[in-house]
Amino acid sequence: MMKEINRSIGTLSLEQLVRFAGAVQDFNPVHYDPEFAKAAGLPGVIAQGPLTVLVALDALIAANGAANLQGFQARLKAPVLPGAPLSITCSAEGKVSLKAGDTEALAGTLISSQAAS
Amino acid sequence: MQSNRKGQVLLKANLVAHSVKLEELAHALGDTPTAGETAALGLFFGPTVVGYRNFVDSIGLDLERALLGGHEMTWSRAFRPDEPVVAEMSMADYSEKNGMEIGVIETRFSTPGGELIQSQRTTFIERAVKA
Repeated sequence: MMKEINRSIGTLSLEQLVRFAGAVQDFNPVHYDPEFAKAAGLPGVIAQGPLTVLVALDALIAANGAANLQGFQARLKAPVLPGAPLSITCSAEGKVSLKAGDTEALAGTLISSQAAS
Repeated sequence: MQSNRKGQVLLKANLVAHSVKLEELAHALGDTPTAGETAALGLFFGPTVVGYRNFVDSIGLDLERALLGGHEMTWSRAFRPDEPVVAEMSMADYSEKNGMEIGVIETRFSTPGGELIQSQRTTFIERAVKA
């Protein structure tokens, strides 16, 4: 069983997006070029999907401990814009929801070490 | 997206889980109390391990129409600082739905000796060209 959580996890800054781009070599312009992002039909630059996934995973690790986890399956449902307030919930069964404002940006399933073994 | 790449190995690379990169990623995650542990699990994003341009070119992805639909990670352990890692990326699946193209990229991260450390399945969606 997972620890149930329901809490705010702050925001992502543009600086974090740029730092993440450098760390994982993800230089898709939608993450730093507002004009390119708008041409792609987005309201502005958006957070990298993997960054959104890892921010959620970080909150889940904080609650459960990395040693108790073996995987995370995430569906990205809406883009996360820098500055949007983020909140996360996780059920005892490992069902995860990350919201940016009122919009669900990520829905996922957390896999425990016990479940995988 | 190039549907004929389905089932093919797209890229293979010899990497290192550089400790400096682990620190950079932890910083990008906001230096939370657990950011170091999270960074050690999420150090590599499969499709960009050899640069996003190489990946984009390997499957002919149109970035202006591309969205990341999902990302799955399964690990046996975290990456260790400065350990060598072998990454192999393939297109595990390709399908079309409502004019959209959907590609699933699988990346396996192993030690040079063949121990699987982590596997990832990443789903890309390429929206239809606007008329």
